[in-house]
Amino acid sequence: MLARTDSRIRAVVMLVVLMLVAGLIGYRLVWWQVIDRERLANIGLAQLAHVQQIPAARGLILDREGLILATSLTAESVFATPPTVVDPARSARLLGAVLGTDPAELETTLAGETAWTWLSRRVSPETATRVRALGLPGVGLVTEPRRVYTMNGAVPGTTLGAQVLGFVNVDGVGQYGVEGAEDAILAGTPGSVVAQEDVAGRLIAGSVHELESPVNGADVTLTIDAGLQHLLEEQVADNFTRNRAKGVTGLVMDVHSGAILALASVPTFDANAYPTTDPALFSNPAVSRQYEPGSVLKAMTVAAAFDAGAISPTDLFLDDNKLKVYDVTISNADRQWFPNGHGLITPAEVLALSNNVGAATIGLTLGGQRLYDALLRYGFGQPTGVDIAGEAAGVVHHPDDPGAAKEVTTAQNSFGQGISVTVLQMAAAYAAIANGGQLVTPHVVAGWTDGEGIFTPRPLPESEQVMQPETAEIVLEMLTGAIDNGIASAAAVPGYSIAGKTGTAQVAGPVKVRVRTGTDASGQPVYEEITRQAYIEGWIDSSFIGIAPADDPQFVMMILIHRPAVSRSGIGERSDVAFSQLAPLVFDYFGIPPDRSVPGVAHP
Amino acid sequence: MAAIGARPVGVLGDIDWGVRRPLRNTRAARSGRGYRLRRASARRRAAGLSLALVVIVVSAMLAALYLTQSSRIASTGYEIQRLEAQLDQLEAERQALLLQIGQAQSPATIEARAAELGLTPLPDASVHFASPSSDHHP
Repeated sequence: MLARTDSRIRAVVMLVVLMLVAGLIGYRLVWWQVIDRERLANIGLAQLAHVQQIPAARGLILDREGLILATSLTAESVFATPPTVVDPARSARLLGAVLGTDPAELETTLAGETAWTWLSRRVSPETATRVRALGLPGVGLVTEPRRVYTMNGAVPGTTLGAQVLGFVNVDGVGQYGVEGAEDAILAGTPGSVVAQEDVAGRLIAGSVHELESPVNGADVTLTIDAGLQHLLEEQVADNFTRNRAKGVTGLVMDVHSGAILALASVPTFDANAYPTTDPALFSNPAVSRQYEPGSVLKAMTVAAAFDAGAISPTDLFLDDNKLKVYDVTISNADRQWFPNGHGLITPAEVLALSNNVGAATIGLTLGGQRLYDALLRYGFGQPTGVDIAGEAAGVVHHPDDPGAAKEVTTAQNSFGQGISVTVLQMAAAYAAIANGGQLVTPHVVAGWTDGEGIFTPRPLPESEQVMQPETAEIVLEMLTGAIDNGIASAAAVPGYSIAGKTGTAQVAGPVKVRVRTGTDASGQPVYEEITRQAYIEGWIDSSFIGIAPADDPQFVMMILIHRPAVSRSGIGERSDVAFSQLAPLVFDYFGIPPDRSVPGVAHP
Repeated sequence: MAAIGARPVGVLGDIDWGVRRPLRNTRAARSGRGYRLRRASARRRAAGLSLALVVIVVSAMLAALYLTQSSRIASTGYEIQRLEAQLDQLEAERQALLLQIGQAQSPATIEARAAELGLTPLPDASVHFASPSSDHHP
């Protein structure tokens, strides 16, 4: 019985054990197949499937008429996987001859332990074909987009509007200009696909696990007109050469919208060859370079004084060519011919004569606080919000700032010294004079067109009324008089009413000076030579800003000549003369009819 | 269950099973119990055979279907690869054409082409303005 019972118990035990084992196996099977199925399936898929990024196509950049300024091509880049390179020395020798790189450097790279490395990015199709023909183990080619700027600039070896457009770096990221500022819109969003690959690395149809389609970048349309840009570049380059200047910047802007129609600076660069370009040329001087505006700012001082009711157009101000403010004596630029000044002058004459003493007197009459507030209101001391990367804010000192000199600062700011602005700030402020007092936002992007063909205009902040319309009208009239009867008559264009103002300001640079640092043991003074920023004789910024036609303002145009070669007789080609050459081209280009009679023209 | 000798229906309905004649014409078929036993045995064998045949045919059909699908997937895959290559080629051509258009539209190119054709800028003196105040002719 016992033996029989033992046998039954053993059988039962065995059965229970087997059932437990079977249950455990079953439990694990259910766990793997049902409960944890998704996670395990994903792990399996991750081992088999390959995630491939689908690049988004970068959008075009078009001018205001739809002409193509920037597009993209597909180029091939050469890479290596050094651990799989068979003969580094031979491979380096062969590749060096094709890629034009140093074989010794290549050999070091190919013999290294890096898993993967670039050898050359975006090579020409011919080079890619030759690399492929070598058939070197561990060396491959992969396609990448290459940005191309289609239009040549007016200056040989440059591309049109290079400093407006910027460029795209090797990693496909927009740098500087519109490429930098609007990178998110232009670049789009890359997609991805998770799928299995065959031995050749091709995706197997039907194995696609996840597919996220790319969203291509939008095509950006600029306010820039390629034809006008070319004309402006020619003018700017001509002035650059004739003045043997360090730089020249020119701008044409719509006074009502702030749309920049042309913006050019020389020296500039070839955006298709940016890797071999001096990086100092990448920034657009019109937005990134701060300069002291000089006399062009006098119009703002006069406008601020009118706006505040501090002066009237008939008020007279004494100009004796020696306005003493604390220990500083302010004199005029024409002191050589008018050593005792011009006597009693009106605000219109202050602008026509570009009179420093008169402007300083008006500024002091207005008061430091009110002048400071007005300058900020007119857009100085803060970025304009232009859609070009790298904008500077400029500097406006409050007269009571620690570094400022109270009334001296107010007097100097009144005629444009001791204050730093950008070309775009000045253009926006003059546009306010031209359009009845509205501060517009200068911009180069009109809008963008998405993949569906829907055009979205660039959202612009609401223009702010920063100047009373009456003030704008009076100052515009005075600035017209400054051309018709003032010292800037060289800016006049036959047949057209022009309002404008010249400006010449000294430029600071590094100057070595000896400063006393103490005394030695014998009581003799000890001097040390240090470098500090100071105004340098002969270093000037000469600018002219004009509103045209003055009777029905449409454009604000500006020419800034940075550090022209100055001789005893002055600079070679003054900025007001440069303006008189540029403005007729703009009128012709847009078909603007004359608003005045043209003397000396025979009419049929 | 279908009776012996009956023609199975469905997918195998057209097959001649060949099991009726031996059962009908043997002595066992005509002798009582033995006949029934043999008949039952034959019925089981036939049922087993039917099932096996069904499994084989269904498996064959599934295999054929799978092979067809695999073949189709492979050929579709290659077709997709070919079309993608064609798409890449067309895209490259489109990009090259866009570049050509941009270059042809360039003011510098147009200026150079105009100069080649012998065109020159209009001299200022040859431009006559019609301004409001120039209407009073002598």
